[in-house]
Amino acid sequence: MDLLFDINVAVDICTKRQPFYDDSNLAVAKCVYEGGRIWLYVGSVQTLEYVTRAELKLIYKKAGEQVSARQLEKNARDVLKKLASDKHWLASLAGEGSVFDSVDPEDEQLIRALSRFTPGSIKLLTRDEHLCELYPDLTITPQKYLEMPSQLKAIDFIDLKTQQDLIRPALEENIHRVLARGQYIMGPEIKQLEERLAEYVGVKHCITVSDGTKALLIAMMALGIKAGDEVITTPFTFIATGEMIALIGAIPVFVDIDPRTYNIDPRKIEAAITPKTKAIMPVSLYGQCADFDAINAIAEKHGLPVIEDAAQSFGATYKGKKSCALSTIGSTSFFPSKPLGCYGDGGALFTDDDNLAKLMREIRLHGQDRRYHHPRIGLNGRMDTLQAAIVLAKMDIFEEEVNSRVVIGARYTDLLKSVFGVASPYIEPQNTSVYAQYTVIIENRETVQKQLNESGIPTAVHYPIPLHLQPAFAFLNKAVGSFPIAEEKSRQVMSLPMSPTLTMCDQQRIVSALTEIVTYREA
Amino acid sequence: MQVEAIYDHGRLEFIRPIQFKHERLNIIVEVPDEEILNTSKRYNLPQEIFDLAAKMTEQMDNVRNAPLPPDDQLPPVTAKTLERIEAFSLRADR
Repeated sequence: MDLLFDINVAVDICTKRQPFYDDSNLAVAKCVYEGGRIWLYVGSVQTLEYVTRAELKLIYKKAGEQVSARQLEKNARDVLKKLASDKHWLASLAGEGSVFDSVDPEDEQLIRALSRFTPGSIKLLTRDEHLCELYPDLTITPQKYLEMPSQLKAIDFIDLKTQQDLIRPALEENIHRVLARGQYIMGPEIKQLEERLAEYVGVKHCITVSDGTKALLIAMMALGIKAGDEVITTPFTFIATGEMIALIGAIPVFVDIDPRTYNIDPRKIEAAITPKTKAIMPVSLYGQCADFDAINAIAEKHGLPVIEDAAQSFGATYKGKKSCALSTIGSTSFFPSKPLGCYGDGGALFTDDDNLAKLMREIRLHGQDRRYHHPRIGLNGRMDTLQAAIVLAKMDIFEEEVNSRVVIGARYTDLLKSVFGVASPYIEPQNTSVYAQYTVIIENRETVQKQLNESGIPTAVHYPIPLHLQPAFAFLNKAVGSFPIAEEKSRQVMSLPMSPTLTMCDQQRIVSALTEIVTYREA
Repeated sequence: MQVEAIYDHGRLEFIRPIQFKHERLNIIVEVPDEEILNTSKRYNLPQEIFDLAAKMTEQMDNVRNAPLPPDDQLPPVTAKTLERIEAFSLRADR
């Protein structure tokens, strides 16, 4: 549960005000220990400063110490800065302005601000008993909060909250700028983001699109792939890869995966090429790029374009080159849980080919080359300006997050190396993975998942059924046994919680729980 | 004014009866330190929480008790700021 500070509790902590300090401070420690966030209302700043100053003045007076007005000011601001340094600022919104009919406008603002949160997920921490009587469900005293049973911090499978905390000012500023300007479709943020992403990846063109799935569709449309054509891809991936091939009327031709990386096995691609083959679409699964030198060599030999489905690998490198810059077209997703995610759907296409870039720009905009002139069939595939504004805020910390992902992935591997019956992901020496998923191989997966869940550790399976065995692809007539490695891995893979902000302490908790489960099972 | 009172199970009882203008008001009460139960004894919480609270106290103490720079080395407090401070001086937020 999160807590919003009322002025009285904040001042208790800043001034060590007795006899309230111990409980107020302990309540903060409990909240932090349980993984809650403590919020300071932006609208409380002035009051907070003046009351803290007045309280400090009393303390100095009581102690017989002489301090000047300026010294008092500095002291008050220093303690407030310290107080705010690890708290979260809760912005005042327009709806919290008109409180003049209220008996207590200041309290009314705080109470209204709480309504933005999920009920029960936050309370106003206050010693104002009158306020507690009026709003028993929204408020709590430090004493009552401390009397509540303590709960260990919950581990999120993907922790987007901590990331949001880190960039909240930039996010709010960017969102407000879009709202104020009102250019919700193809606003200037789209161009800014495209330039920034192209520079990051190291390619000439970036075309943002509405989502990662449509990105694949637009890429194939730009390459002229049509009904009856064949596109080679992996059966061990999310449905979108095969789904878009089928949606365009083409036939997905699956090729089994490499047993170590779980990416498409380049040694098996050539045998699948026919005169109908029009493209190869490898997926850089779990955040690690497929073997593009080998894939591109085969493609070049047969005059085929390559589309990298980099939905999970944005930020990863292959031989020092960024994912999305490794083939004819790179395609990624900004789905919220992806290494670079927005707060809805979004995606992007990358290419060095001027003509393909032009085609993809037109296709995402109803095939339009100039206003109301449509030389080709396209679709509505534009990324929203608001989503671009969010990704722009995230770009500021993305490189740092990629580095953290590498460190956290390596730490998992190190912690798991002596755990019998758990195989860590294999990363090719020429690759860096962004660990969109940290996926291990394990026997009796469902039992382990259930037990981990009981210990408060969420897990996921990416993916339990390979595409050729999905009912939607029954028309391909690929029976069980067609792609044995993909089938085997789909029974064994299990993804552990992974985020760039995952702490060492939480990782140890996850690995300890897993170790206990598998050790007990072996015994 | 200072008055004597008896604390009894959550209520304060004044030894000398006083009539107040308002039904509800803030007052400052002097509580003997030795009468306050140590928080660690009052709440059933993991030790880590008490350790964290102690660490936070130490950090805040360091900031609060840091030596203050001489007055003439600090930026001036404007008349406007002083006026606001005065306006707030009655508010204790206890």
